[in-house]
Formats: sequence, structure tokens, C-alpha cells
Amino acid sequence: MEGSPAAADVTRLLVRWREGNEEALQSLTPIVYEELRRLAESYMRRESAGHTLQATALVHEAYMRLIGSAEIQFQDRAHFFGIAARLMRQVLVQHARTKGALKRGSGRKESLDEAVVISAEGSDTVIALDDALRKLAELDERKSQIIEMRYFGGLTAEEIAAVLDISTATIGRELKLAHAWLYRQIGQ
Amino acid sequence: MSVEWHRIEEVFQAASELPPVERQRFLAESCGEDRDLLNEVQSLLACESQAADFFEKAIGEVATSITDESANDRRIGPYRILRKLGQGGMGAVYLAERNDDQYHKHVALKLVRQGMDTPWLLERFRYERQILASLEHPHIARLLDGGTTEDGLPYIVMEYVEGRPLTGYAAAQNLDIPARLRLFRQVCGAVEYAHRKLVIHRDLKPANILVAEDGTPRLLDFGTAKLVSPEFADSGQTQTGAQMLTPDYASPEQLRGEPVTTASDVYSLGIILYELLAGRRPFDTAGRASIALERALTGTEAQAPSRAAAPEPKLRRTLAGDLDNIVLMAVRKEPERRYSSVEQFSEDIRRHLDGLPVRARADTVSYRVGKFLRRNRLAVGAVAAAVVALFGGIAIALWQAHEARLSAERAQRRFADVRALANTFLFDVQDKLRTVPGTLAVRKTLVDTALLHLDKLSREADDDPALQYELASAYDRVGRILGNPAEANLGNLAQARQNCAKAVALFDKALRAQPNNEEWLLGASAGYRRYAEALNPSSSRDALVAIARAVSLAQRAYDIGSRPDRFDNLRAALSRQGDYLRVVGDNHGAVKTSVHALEICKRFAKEQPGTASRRALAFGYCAHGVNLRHVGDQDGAAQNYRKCIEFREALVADEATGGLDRRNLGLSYLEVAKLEFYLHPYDLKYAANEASKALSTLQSISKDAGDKRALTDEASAHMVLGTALRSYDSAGARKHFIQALRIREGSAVSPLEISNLASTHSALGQLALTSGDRTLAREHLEKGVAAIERALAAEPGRISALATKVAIQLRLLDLHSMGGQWRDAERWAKSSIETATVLTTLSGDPSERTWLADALIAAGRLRQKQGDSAGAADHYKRSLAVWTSEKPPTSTQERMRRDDAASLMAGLTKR
Repeated sequence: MEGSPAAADVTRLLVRWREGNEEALQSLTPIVYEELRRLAESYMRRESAGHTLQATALVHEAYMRLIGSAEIQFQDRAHFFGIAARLMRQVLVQHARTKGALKRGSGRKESLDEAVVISAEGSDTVIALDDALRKLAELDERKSQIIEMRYFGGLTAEEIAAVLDISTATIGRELKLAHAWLYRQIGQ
Repeated sequence: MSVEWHRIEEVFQAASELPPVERQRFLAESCGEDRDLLNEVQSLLACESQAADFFEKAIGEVATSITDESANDRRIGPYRILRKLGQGGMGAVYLAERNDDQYHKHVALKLVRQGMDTPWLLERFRYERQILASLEHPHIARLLDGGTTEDGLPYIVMEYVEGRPLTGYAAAQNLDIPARLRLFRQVCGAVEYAHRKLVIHRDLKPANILVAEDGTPRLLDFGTAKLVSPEFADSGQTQTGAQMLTPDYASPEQLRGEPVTTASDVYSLGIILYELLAGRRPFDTAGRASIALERALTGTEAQAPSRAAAPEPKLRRTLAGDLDNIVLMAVRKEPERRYSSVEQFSEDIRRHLDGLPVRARADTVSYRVGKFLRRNRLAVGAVAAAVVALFGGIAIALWQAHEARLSAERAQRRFADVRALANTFLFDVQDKLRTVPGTLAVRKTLVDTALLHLDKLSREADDDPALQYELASAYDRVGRILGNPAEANLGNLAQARQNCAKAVALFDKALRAQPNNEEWLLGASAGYRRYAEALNPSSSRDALVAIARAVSLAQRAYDIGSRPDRFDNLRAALSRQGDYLRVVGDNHGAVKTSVHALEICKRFAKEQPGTASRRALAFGYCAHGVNLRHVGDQDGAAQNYRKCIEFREALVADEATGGLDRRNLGLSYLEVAKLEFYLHPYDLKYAANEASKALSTLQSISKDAGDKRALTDEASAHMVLGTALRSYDSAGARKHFIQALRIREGSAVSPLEISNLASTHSALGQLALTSGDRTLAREHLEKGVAAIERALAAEPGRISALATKVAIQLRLLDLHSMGGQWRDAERWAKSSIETATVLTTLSGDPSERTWLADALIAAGRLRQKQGDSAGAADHYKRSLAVWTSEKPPTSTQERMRRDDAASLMAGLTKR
């Protein structure tokens, strides 16, 4: 993978974006998204039962495929994950939606005797989380980004700090409130 | 970022750094008068600890689900994988079909898990093949083929048994005990055969015994089997079965890791038979080997199956005796004390079936019980005779009082005497009789006799309001005993309704003469309330009319204001009114009733502190909580439940009253469980936890065979618990659904009960659908549809029944759509939209629109699956249109529907 044209491309785009070229991001996004989608799909076909696939594993695999061991600054690497996290969120939410809408009964009202309760599945949590994250972004954009990077991209606090250019201590504090807020929001 | 948010963050961060004990003071100081800020920060702090690994888990689940679908469509040798059937420790079993065959016969293909291909495991795999090849028996799944994948992994191809696990099959078919025993003997035959071939199965459990539709059982999974032939005798490998056992069914010697013999299979079969007969296993290990091992080491013996079946007296009686002895002999701890072979075990069952004495024996308990029963039966007869005579006396006294036209004062006194006697007769004697088994018939006779006299008297009561009132009270009482669904009763609702109707007519007559008689107002209000309770199961709208009258009578008595029971009377009427308003979807109207009721209760507590007012307050809080939950105020609901439970726990602890307070406590736990579905919809352990509290509290109430209410309560708790468990423990969920089903199948009469029975079938159908058992799913769903049709025929337009109907229709749509049966699927799509439209039109609750949105999306998806894009688009568009700008979605769940429809639309146009 090393030295592949794609890797060189992606690395160059990342550097240009860090230097302030917004168009670089425009070109970068479809490449990363395509890679993530392809990976997720290939997982759907491939036998790998028993392995718990984490979203973060997909992101890391995409990174390995797109950049591999090419020389890259820590900050650019972090930025890559930042983008990938957002895209991963899209991939997973899309998957959850398809699955949710396909499999009736998920998140649907349930007539439980005279009472009606909601029964939910994991796929709904992701949709609900996506929904809640959008609301959090209206209230506090940064916290929403931090959650996205942490859970959909698997970024460490240091990496998130590098992308957002804030201290790691702040990340911890921000996460705490974001957690509580989201959890409450989703519960409602 | 708003100023408020900034301030919230500041206070939150500072408070979360403090130890919990100091937080309250800090918050009070920093928030000062700002209550909103205080509430906001407090509620966020409350969520802080729970949120820890929640997101990681949820996201992980979806990511995993991507891979779950991974193996589908894969080719292995000449086979094409269709879907995964199950997952074991070392491999997965798939449904597959031959690629190159003219006929597409389904097979089960077992494949070693990737990464698990250790030499030891591969050895075991080959070993299983060898064992299977040596077994040819009609009740053992046949080995068809085997081979190696391109990656070099071995696989086994077996006959695919389309059936369901032994216990599930017996429950679904509602097999009686002899049928279960005969089925079990067929299984014994297969195990016996394997033993003759020197093969010990070592992992016998219901999941490994599938029963096909025609009723033949097949034994599967010899993956941990052991050959007892000499050439393998020294092979250490084959004895390491201890790591691969199922704790619930493993014998003590297996758990201890000792050598395993055919006696271990006898033990496992014994546990299976236990479960098959008693409906539960003797030991609850929660699937954990450590608990099972502890039991094996400490030497607890199983309790008799009949005792495990104690809540069901009929079953208990069937099991007591031979069957107890047979099962207990098979599951004895010491292998040498069990049946020495499966053949003997099976033979003893045959002897029992043929009515011959069995080999297994306990002591002479049954002899003693039999004798006691015979004695008791005589006593029952004597009591009945005495009581009938006594009632004759009461009726004559009443008659005389009437005839004699005594002075008003004396007549009043006489009535009081008569009433006291009637109370004794109708309540105390009934209660006493209830504790004697088998008095149901006697109790019914008593009521009938009473009615005969009452009817005669009431014809004479035209011009005597006092007599009218007494008679009304008596009819009211009879109605309660016969079948008031809200009280312990004889389960005859139709007759109860008739008597309540007579009662309220007489109450009204009496009140016309004395409209401000306080006692009469209260009595009549209670009478109307019970009339409403009797009406509700079959007609919620009639119930609303009756309860409105009860409220206005109670309010009048309250306004006159002297009697102490005026508070609780009004409270009870308002509470019921709230219940029935909710049934027709007027949730905001319901909240008004409970606000009013709570005011009354608080005044009650202030004027008359004590048990009665505390009990009333508990009711008031609970009802208000329920109503708030239905208008979406979850926090308010939680607060009210907490207060209610506080009162009730104190009441139960205080007086050890058992009955009423304990039941109410159980019911409030159940309400909290339902609330938890909203508070933690993605972590249903909270709901399950509350529901099991409810279940055990409700089960602890002593039950009488004739008391339907206790059973109804228990069934509701089973349903809520099952629903909560479903997302993470489908076996547990099934168990509880089936227990609910057992109760409801035997007792559903009114539209409400039949509709609840239908929900139970629907829940079981859904469970079967998720586990891929389409045959079972279909069976439950079709039974569900039939039941719900019956309920709706009896009461057209019942809202909750309509909702249940849509739910079942949608599941049937899924079922047929999964099987590619488009025409059937289309039929259900169409009918579900029809039902949902009726529901949306009739209900006053806008959240019922979700059903219509769901039905339209489902129908659209179905069209899309068949390649009809235009049809799909049309349905998506209609689903989207459910959420108008005047009435937009109000919850995440509803927004999800709208977004689903929008993204499905977008997906179509892109193509």
C-alpha cells in the first residue's frame, strides 16, 4: 500500500487542507467515504463471525488502506480521523436506518396489553444518537464533534485535542457533560 | 452558544468535581433563586454515571450487525449459504442449499469458526463426523456430506430439521401431559440407540432436540459427544467435555469434571423431562457454570416437579405421585442412584402411561394426600349446605321487614341487621370458602340462590326507597363477587354486568326519592364505578358514560361533606375516569382527573391523617404518574411513582397486610417498569429489573383457583418483563411470554382479555420471527389475528385492540415478505393500512399516527422489494404526509419515522 498513488493523494490533500485549502477537503471527503462504504460492504460479505467489529476498526482499516505507512504528521493523521469519524457516522446511520426500516418492529410502538411501550434495538440507538448529536451541535458544536470523533472515529483524547487545537484536559471535561446531555436527550 | 448553556456547563463541571454529598449544598449556593438552572444541572448530573459505556456499546452493536449478515450468499463446496441458523462455541451452523442440484433441498451446514481452527478443534470436528456417520436412526439428524472449504476449514453437512426445540414445541402445541410423555419417550429412543452404538451425547438439552411439524423429534449436535469404545477410552481429549457443557442441563459429575457415562445423559434427559412437565427447570443457574457447579458440590437435590408447578393446581395434581418420582429418580445427584439406563427410564414412563405401578418410588405422601382430600371433600359439602340454609334465613328476615312495614326507625335497624348478615354471607363466607379448594361450584350456587331471592324482593320494592337502596347494594355485592375485573372474583363478567346494571337502576330510583342522602350518594357512586369497571372490558365508551355518573355522584357527596369516606370515593371515581379517558386516547383529559384527585387526597391526609388517607395518597400519586407518562412527561411520572412507592412500601412494611397493599405495591412497580421503557429505551435492564420486582411481589400474593384477578395481574407482569428482556435475553423473554400465554389462554373472555391474549401471541410471533423460526411465528401470528378479530367483533373500535391488530398485521407482512410470498404480504400490507387508518381516525391520541406511518413505510418497502418503484414512492410519500406541519412529530421515535420515509424516498429517486 505504501507509495500507492491514492496514499500520496490523500496525504497531499490532508496537508493542503491543514494549510487552509478548503477545496482539499471537498476532494478528500468522497475518497474516504467511498473507502469506508466499501469496507463496510465487504464486511457484510465476508465471513468473520465472532469478531466484534468496532466502528473504529473500520476507520483504522480505511486509514491503513488510504495512507498506509506513508510519512504523515500527527496532526494530519488526526485530521484524517476527524473526517473519517463524520463519514463513519453517516455509514453506520445509513446502515441502521436500512436495517431498522427493513426489520419492522425496531423502535416501533408496541401494544403491550392496554399500555403501549416503545421497544428499541441497537440500531435505533445509533439513529437516536445521530438525532441527538444534531441537536447538541445546535447548542454546542464542539461537544458534538468531540463525541463524533471519540465514538465513530475512535480518536484518542490526544488526537481529538490535535484536531480541535485544545487541551486534552478540556476534552475530558467536555466529554463528561456531552455524555450526560446526550444520554438524557436519548432517554426522552 | 447561549448564555444559559454556558452557565449550565460552568455549574455542572464544578459540581461534578465534588463528592456527591457536597453537591447539593454547592448547587443550592450557586443556583440561588434560579430553579431552572438547578433542575437542569441536577438532571444532567443524574445521567452522568449511567452514560459511561452506553454509546460504545450501541455503536458497536450496529457495527457488529454489519458483519452478522456477512456469510450470507457465500459458497462452500457445492453449497450456497442462505443464512445463519445458530452459533456455537466452536462454529456456526448455516442453512444452505446445494448449488448444482436440480432440487433445492435445504441442509444444515456446520462450519468451524474462523480463528478457531486449532488442531484440537479440528480433531473434534472430524470426530463428530465419524460419530454421526455411525448413527442412523429416524430420530437423529442424519449426516449427509462433509468436506473442506477453500481456506482449508472442515465442514459437516447434515439433514436440516425444520422444527422447533422440544419444550417450545410442546408449549406451542399445548400438548397435554400424556402427549408430552410420549414425545419424550421418542427422544429417549434416540438416546438409547446412540448408547447402544457406544456414543454418549453429553449435551442433551431442548435446543438440541428439534420437533418437526409432523411431531417427530430429531436429536442434533453430537459436537461434544463421546465414544465409549475401547480405542478411545484413553484419549484425554475426548473427556475434556467440561468446558463445553450447558450448565442448566449438565449432570453434577460433568460439572465436577469427572468421567462421564451414560448416566449423565439420563440426568440431562431427567432435567429436560422436568422442564417439559413443570414448565421450569429445577435449578436456576442463569446459564452460569459457576452457579451450577456450586449446586453440584453442595448437593442440593431438586424439588419435586409438582412443587415447582405449584401455582397451577391442576398441573400440580397431575404431576404429584408417579411423575414426581420418575423425574426425581432420573436427576439424582449420584449417578448410581439414577435409572441405570435410558431404556429403564423410558420404560417407567411407559408403565405410568399404561397405568401400571412404576419402579420409581418416593414415600407414601400421595397415599396421605389422597386420604386428606377425601376427608376434605366431605367438609366442603357440609359448609355449603349450612350456608345455603343461612341465606334462606336472611332472605326471609328481609322479606318480613318489608312486609311488616315497620316504623322507619325500626325498619332502619332491621335493614342494618340484614345488611350485616348479607355481608357475612356474601363476603366472609365467600372468603372462607375460597380458601377451601374445589368450592367454586358451591360458591356459584350460593350466588345464584341469593339472586333468586333478590329478584323476588326487587319486584316488590317499587315504593320503598330504603329497600331499593338495600337491594341495590346487594346486587352490587353480587356483581363484585361474580366478576368485577378490578377485584378478586369468580370470573363471570357477563353476569356481573347484569347485576351491576340492576344495582345502578335501583340506586337511581332510591336517589330520586332522597337526592341528598349522603350515604346513598356514596353507595351509588361506588355502584356506578363498579358498573363502569364491569363494562370497560367490553365497551370502553359505555364505561366512560357510567364513570362520569359515578364522578358526579361522588362530587355531590363530597360537596355535602361530612362523611369520612367521601374523599376516597371521589378519588377512586376520578382515577377510574382517568383510566377510561386514556383508553379512548384523551390523555390530557385524564391528567385533569388526576390533578383533581390529588388535591382531594391531600386534603384528606390533612384532615384525617392515618392509614386510609396514606393509602388514598398512594393511589393518587400512582394514577397521576400514569397519566403524566401518557402525555409524555416522563420526569413528572417518575416523581409521582417514587412518592407512591414510598407510601406503599411503608404501608406493606407497617401492617403486613399482604393482600391489598402488597398487590398495589406490585402494580406500582409494574408502572415504573413501563415508565422505564421511556426513560431508558435503549437499556431495558432497568425496565426488566422493575418488572421482575413487580412479578415477584404479585406472585407472593396467595392465589386461589377461583381468583382471576391475581392471575390477570401475574400475566401482565410476565408480559412487561418478557418485553423488557426481549432485546437481550430472548430465551427469558419467551419463558415469560409463554407463562402469560398459559394464563390468558385459559381465561380470556372479554374483548379486553382476548385482545391481551392476542398481544401475547403477537409478542411470541415476533420473537419467533427474530430467531428465524417462521413456522412458529406464523402459527402465533395467525392465532393472534384470530383472537384480535374476535375482540373487535365483540367491541368494534376498541383503540388498544386496533393498535394490537396493526402490530400483528405488520408482523404477518414481514413474515410473508421474508419468505418471498408477495401476494400474501401485499394482502397484509393493505389490511394493516386500513386498520391503522381506522385507528388514527378514532383515537384522540396523535401519537397513534405512528402506526399509520409504519404501515405505509412497510407497504412501500414491500413494493420496492418487488421492483415497483412507483408504488413504493407513493407509499413513502403518504407516510411522510402523516406528519403534517400543524401536527409535526413530537418525539425521537416519531421523527425517526418521518426521516425514514424521507430517506427511503430519496433513495428511490437517486436510482
